[in-house]
Amino acid sequence: MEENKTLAIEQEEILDLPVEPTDLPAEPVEIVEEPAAEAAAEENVPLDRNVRLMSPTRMVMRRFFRSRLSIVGLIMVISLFLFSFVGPLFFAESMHKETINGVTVETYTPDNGKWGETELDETGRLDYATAESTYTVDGVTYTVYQTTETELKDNSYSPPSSRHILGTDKEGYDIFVRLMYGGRISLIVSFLAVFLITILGVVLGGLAGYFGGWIDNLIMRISDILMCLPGVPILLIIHTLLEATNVPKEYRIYLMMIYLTFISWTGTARLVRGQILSLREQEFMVAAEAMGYSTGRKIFKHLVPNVMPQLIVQMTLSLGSMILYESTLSYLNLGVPAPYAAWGTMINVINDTDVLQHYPFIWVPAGICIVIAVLGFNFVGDGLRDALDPKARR
Amino acid sequence: MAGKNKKAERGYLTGREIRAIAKANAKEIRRLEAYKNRKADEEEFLTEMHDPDNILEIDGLHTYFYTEQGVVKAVNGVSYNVPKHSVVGVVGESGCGKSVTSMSVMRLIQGPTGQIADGSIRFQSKDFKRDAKGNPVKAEDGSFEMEEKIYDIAKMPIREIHRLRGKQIAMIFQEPMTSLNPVFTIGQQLDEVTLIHIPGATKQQAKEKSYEMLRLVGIIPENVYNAFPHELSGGMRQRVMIAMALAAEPRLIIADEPTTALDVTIQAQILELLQDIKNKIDGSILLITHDLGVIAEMADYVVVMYAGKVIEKGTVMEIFQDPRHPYTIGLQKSKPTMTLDDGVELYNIPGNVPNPTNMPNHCYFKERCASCTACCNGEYPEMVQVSPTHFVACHLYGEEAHND
Amino acid sequence: MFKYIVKRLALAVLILLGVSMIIYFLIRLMPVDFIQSKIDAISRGGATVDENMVQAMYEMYGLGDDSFGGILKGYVNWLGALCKFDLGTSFVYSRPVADIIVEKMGVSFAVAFIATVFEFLIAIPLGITAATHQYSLRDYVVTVLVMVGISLPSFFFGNILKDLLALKTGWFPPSGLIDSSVTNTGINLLLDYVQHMVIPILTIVILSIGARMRMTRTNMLEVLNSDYIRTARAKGLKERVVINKHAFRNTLIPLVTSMAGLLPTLFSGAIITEQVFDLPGIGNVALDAMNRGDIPFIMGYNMFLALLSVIGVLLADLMYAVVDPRVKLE
Repeated sequence: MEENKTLAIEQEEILDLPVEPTDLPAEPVEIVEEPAAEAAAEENVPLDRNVRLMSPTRMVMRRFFRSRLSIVGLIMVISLFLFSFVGPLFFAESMHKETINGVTVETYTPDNGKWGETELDETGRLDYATAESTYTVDGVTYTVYQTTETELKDNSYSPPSSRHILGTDKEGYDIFVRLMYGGRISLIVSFLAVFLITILGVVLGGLAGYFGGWIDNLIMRISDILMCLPGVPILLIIHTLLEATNVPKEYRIYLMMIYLTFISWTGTARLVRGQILSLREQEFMVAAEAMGYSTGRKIFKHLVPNVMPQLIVQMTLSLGSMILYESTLSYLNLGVPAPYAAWGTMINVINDTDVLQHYPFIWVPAGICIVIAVLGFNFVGDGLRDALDPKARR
Repeated sequence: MAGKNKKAERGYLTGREIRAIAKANAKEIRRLEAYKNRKADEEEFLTEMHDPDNILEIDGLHTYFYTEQGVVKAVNGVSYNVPKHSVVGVVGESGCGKSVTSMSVMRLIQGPTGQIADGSIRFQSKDFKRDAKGNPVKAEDGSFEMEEKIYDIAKMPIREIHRLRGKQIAMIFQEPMTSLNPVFTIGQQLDEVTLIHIPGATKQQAKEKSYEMLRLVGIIPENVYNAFPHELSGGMRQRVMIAMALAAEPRLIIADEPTTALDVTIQAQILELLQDIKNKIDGSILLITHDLGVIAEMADYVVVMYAGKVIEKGTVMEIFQDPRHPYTIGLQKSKPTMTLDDGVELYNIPGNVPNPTNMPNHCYFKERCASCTACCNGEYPEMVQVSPTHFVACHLYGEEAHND
Repeated sequence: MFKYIVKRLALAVLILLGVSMIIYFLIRLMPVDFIQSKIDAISRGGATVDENMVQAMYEMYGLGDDSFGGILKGYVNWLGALCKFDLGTSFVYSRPVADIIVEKMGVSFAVAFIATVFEFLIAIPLGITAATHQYSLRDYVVTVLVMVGISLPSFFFGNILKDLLALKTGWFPPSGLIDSSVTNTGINLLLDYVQHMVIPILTIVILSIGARMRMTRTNMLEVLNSDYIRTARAKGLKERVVINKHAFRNTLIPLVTSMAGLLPTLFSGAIITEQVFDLPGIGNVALDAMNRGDIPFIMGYNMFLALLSVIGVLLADLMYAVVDPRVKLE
């Protein structure tokens, strides 16, 4: 090589981009070892600590709220909760209880536009039919007018009005109010199911992943079997079975959802197991082992917190699918029985083509409620997934 | 107010700052992405070399990462050259920007976060002469005509870059275990290089070329040609990667820590192989490593990088015999040697590598530097020429130092 | 390879045994007089329930003997019959359950198969563009569509389509599989079938497309971030080739595997969709049978579904080994 070959041109001046405020702190891309905690007062801070970061919680919150979809989802979910659980407080006051001479009398005051879940609008409408007939007697013509008054007992299929915000259905129930009560069933049932699924899944998945060996084998084979069980058809059997027992109809849906948890924990268990298996191999678990920590401490202090993010995401997403499940069961008439409302049951009326075609106000709102609920939980779950994923950088 | 102060004390960003960052980032990313994805005539990115003996001239390169916590200036005004037929070694600690520089040359910076914000990368390419349609022009004797062109890689639209990658500049990556596509056989992946870069190459020719390349890197072709990557060891995979990089006979090979992920014994073999091959194809190698031993053995020129900037560069003799920058001196001293006396502790440079963000305008090495003077609090030192080939960015050697 | 398949088959048999046990004991939990009342209800409903058939069922399931030995004997008996593909005789149809399943499977398969083909054809390209244009408007729109698709209940959406495309506009027939007012033959009959299947297929496609699209997008993103894609780019391949050859071939692995898992959905019938559009597919028939307490049909249908799932899992495993060279069957 020739010696006098110049290797370099002069070092360029540092070029500052106009859009970039110079005092903005930032996170390093490659050197992330140092989670700088000190304040970034320019001159006095050592260079390797001059970066201000967000706390992990704040970072997750930030990422979550930056996504417009997550916010929309959160609003959807919260408003449905308020609608279902707080809403009836403002609407169920029509039932007026009075105690006269020791006897409790319930009186309805329907005119204030407040209705209960199982309350029928019985005001009815009067229907008049007029018939006209003529008789001729002795050359004189008499016209006879005959009026028939029919009282329709129930105020059915009444269109939306100030009295019934979304109208009434065939029986004369107020649709708007029943949507609220239907929401309670859906939300309670799905929360219950997800709660149980998570507990079962974490315990069984944790056992399988932590202990391995025959315990793992047993739990995984059971989950294999459960995964091959058909969903809805088995639920139909369960329903028939419940019919044979004396369980009150209102509680059947809860029992069916509990059954559903028994076949649905497999997903969560596999997630937890997989996570624990991969975590077990990692250095910090080896370290925990070397420190002689107890099994309980290892599981709850070191493994569970690491599985939490995925678990939260999974829970949120399964809330949506449980609501879908519940409403499908209700739609198939396997949900809460007749006088009580569930979103699925309220859509069930469309099996009558007439209702489907001419009374959309009866079934469309319930469907929209389901979509909002499921969509809301899915948006939130997806937002959480992105926010909690350390790899997802934008 | 109190809450805000508390946040600042804990060192966390406030919401306002975050929004300001996001807004500024979005604007800048949009501008740079549009520039990257634009359509442009060739004239727009043709340029001239400052020194025709160089094959690559990196000039004032700035590569930034627009993260949600601010702009990370991973490469902050880097300039160095790769002369023809030579090996240039780039050393520095992890995160000093040496890999990002090489990725910038290949235009492999992962967008939209990572962007080349400024600077130029001039490269002398020698390719088939092509007509307007992009087909190679045949000379009268039937062979293809060649022509030399100088491109500014930093200004090329991303859609044009494929004409340089593989054929002109090839890269050997740090991670041989994951750098081969797991679903294609070694043969398929090797043949592909020949098929896309040699006009009119048939499958048979490609296979012959692949066999030749595999033999060159010391593998018996019959054994691995039909194998899948997962069937090979790490060393074998790295050899395949090298074979793949060489298959189109590139003028410049960028080897990004080619031996880091390998066993020590394999390391030596791979280095020897690179040395051999460099002599065979008569190209240049840009060798990126943090291993000074590798540099001493392989390189003709050395570039020392620190926190996104070049702090010293020169011939290998100059850097090893006469290091000037306190950081380079520290690096030399922290290298364990057999001659070190018992009881003498191995030197280590105190402190950590700074974050390449929010950098104040003074020498980045100031705090870790043993020979820090008053003027180190001043502006970032200019490059000072020590010898015709030796440059250093330190106040100790600047004119100010003599004035004091 | 051979050993692996044998092992998987053994496992499949084990799973089937487990499933059959659960189904059997669920039925056995029902009191006999309840079953009898169901049978009575069916015969009142117009179907002639042969006394011999009931007797045969009692024998087949070992009903009536609630001792442990009796239950065990009944289970073994039933299992023996299952192995001979004897699923018993349906009360409602007075025909062997297996025959009914085979007969009704055609319609369900046709609908599900066409829907699946469309699903893949639409979802995969959309998922890939969403991934290659991550964070763009395109990605955003696709994400929202995916979410909406996943969140729509099939009974609600199916009925909306039925209302809009059939009842309100009259473009398509609202329900059934054939127009009973005219006798069609040949090509006209086929056209009639197609006409009746359009909305059900549309419903299924729109509802299932979201999940598939999301799966493609997630996988594609993961692949695009991998080192070997960087290698492919560094080789000098054009971006189009990088995505369509190197990235797509890797995305294909989970897609193909999931295709095998679709087997049950192909043959078992979409219960809700078939109910909404009153298609004479197996799902609709099963729903009807189950509502009426046709126990032989319920048991037979559930075992059929379980068998399909088991085969699906098995196929998925094998497919995985076919598309991913890293997976070795051993």
